[in-house]
Amino acid sequence: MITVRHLNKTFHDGQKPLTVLRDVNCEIRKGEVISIIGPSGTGKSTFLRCLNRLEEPTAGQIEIDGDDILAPDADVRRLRQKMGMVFQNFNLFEHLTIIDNITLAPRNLLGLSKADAEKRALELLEMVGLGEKAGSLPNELSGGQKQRVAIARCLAMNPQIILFDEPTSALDPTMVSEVLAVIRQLASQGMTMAIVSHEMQFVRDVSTRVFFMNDGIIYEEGTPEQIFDNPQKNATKSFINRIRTLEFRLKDRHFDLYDMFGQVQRFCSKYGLGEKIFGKIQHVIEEMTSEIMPFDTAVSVVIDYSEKNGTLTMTFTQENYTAADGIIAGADADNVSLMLVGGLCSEMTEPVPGTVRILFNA
Amino acid sequence: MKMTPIRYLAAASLLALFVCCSGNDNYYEPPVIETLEDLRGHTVAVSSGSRQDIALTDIGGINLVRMPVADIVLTLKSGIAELGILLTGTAHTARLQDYGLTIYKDDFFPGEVCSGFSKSKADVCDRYNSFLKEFKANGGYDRLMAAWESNFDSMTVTAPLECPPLSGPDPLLVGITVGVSPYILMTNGEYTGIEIDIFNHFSQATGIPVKYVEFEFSALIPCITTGKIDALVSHMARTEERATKILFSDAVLTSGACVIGKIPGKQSDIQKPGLLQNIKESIQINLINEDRWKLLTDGLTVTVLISVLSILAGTMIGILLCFLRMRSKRYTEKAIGYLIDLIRGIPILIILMLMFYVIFGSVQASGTTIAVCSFGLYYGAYFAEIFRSGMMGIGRGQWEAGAALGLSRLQTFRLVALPQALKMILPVYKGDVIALIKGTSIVGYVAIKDLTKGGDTIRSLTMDPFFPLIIVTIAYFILSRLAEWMLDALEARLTNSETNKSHKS
Repeated sequence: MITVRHLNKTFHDGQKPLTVLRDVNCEIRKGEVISIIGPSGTGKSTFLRCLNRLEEPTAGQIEIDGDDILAPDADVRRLRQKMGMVFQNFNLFEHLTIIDNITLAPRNLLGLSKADAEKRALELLEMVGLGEKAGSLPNELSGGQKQRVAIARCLAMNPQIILFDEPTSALDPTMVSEVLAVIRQLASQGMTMAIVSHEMQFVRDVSTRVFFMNDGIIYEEGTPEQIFDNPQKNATKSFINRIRTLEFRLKDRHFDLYDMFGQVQRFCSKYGLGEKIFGKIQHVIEEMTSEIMPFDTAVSVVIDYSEKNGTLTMTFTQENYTAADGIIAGADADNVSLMLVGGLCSEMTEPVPGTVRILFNA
Repeated sequence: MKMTPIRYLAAASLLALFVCCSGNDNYYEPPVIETLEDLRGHTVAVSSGSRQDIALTDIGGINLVRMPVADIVLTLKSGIAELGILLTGTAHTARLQDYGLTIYKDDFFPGEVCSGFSKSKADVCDRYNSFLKEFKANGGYDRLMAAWESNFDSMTVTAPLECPPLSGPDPLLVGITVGVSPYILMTNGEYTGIEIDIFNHFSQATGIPVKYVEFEFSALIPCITTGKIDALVSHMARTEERATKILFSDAVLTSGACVIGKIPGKQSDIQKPGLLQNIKESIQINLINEDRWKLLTDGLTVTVLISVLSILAGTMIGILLCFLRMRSKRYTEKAIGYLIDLIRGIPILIILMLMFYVIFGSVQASGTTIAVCSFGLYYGAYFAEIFRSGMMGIGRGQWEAGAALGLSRLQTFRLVALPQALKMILPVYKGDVIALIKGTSIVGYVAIKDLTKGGDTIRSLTMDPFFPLIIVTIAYFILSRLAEWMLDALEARLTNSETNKSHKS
């Protein structure tokens, strides 16, 4: 249904040109529910907005049902009539009642009579559970209700595909589910949809395919199971597991320990790690840097915290490590420091000689 | 809400009556005025630019308050000046007694007045001088003076119009300032008075068609130098400075002046007419005599015409500027922004003068055209910014929602943006429209006889300081309320057309 090739979008508004989409290639088939996930600023919304040309792509091709929609003579308005869009901020027409919001486009574009348009609009409002709000104004509705009206407004044009641009991001947490329920219902009816969302559980349940976007490209794609349970690439993994990372490179034993502690403390408080685990991290850093790591040359320290699993991993790597036996294996059996560290963490391994991995369950 | 205008009127009338009737009980001893030097050290109100003004300025040491003729009585009445100088004829016309004033010294300092001509009309000036010589020699002048002497009624100014000026194509345009009694007057819509009559005789004798145009006294010489008019007949005295700009004729006549001031004696003993009697008399003199109300109704028509056309022109200019500014590339957008700032930074009076003297300087355009161009441009700049702020209040999301549904830009504008913008625009727009209507009261500066000018003409004819002002105030008040009411109705219709569609199902 939709084929995208080498899509590039570069913004030229600011001082420097900003490339948001580098090279996007994909295909969306009829009946699919595509979810687009990824870190902020990786072009998910821009990609969606290029599909109905709310943003003009800088280069590339988009074909819909075999028609090149970027051709100079492409009928953009007809294209948009076939493609609904639901916005993050609803964008209901503030001066019109709910039913007028829904009938505006069908009456003016599809030539429906007022009575026919209203009949259809009421059906749609019933479908999204807001039949009794037909005469209200948008500012009398809650955010969740507004978004459901916005979905009904899209449906009134009988679109072949609906683009959802973060439909629940602007909502109170209590209202997210009512909107998601409506989208789930549409999915079950076989509506073709492309959804940019941060609701991972919802994405997993509702999608037929998931695009993980990173750095202006579709970095990895697959079924929800592939992406969520068995991501292939590192960036995907760290996004799915919501891994937060803090890195240090210590040139020698005389590094600024207190500056390092300060950074670790900020990291801990930012991700809600308590004083207890911070204390353990401090101890481990002290023991590892003063006693265990040889410091022949620089040592790198990486702290990874997976918000999803609640696990914290500290990786100490001795650069240019040459000894064959490894740090842990080569140490004395009664090394007090190693025993101390081993007692603090839940697991301590040395997968490669010179690299010690320490795991905590936070 | 309904009570507000009535309360407002009541308050305004009470204030006016208070000013009219207030007086004090002090005993008043007037200064002795025998010679011009006796005026030294006193505060003296004088008609600005008049020959009395020039003469008294030369004396020195007099604290002069220069006012339009019509305001001299008011100046004395309110105590701003102690003494006033009026032309003898004017002083006898004014109901001085009613305002607690009297003449101290009559026929005080006579002086000569001339007519003036554009330097390009030297031939006409020469013919006028020879006409004056012959008119005085053959007794025509004395007959005319005698006729005015015997027929002039100081209360109604029903002087005879001895002969009308010739009309014809390409007439000599003569600037006049009405209200110098009995020299330049208006009677039943015709210009009369001794100086006018003499000029009419000149027109008859030489066959030169003449058209009189009313101006402020101070605008007459600029009008001649910019070619707006060819000549002036306005009781003007010759000065060297004026003579560098225009040609003066020989002396047309000699007029005297009076010194006026408060009636001497105990102020509470002075007989004043009762309130009702006063109002009745004011209505009689200011409105009924010589159908003077017509000056007001004609002025009102002009004010309404100028206002309506200016609102339409301003709105169109505003829409155009707003559209250009919002749709242009960066530099054009900036240029239009500067243009709007420039127009808004100039006082409307200056714009009016520039239009009158410079842009329409050599073109014969009607006063209404000039006023509509000025007010249209000035308020167009304001409207443009009001419209722009309204349009900028429409979020990008509204436009995108329209576009995403497949509406064209124009459809989104008409169905989505405009109805929302109007709600923001109308309240501010309404205020500016009313400001525009009231602002048109300055068009008298460029010889347009609007409502304010009508009131001023009556004031200068009757020397009544207040009554015409109150009538004019009430007229403007009603006019702006009417405009507001109409715009309210428009606003209600626009908002109703949306809420009417409410379907409670």
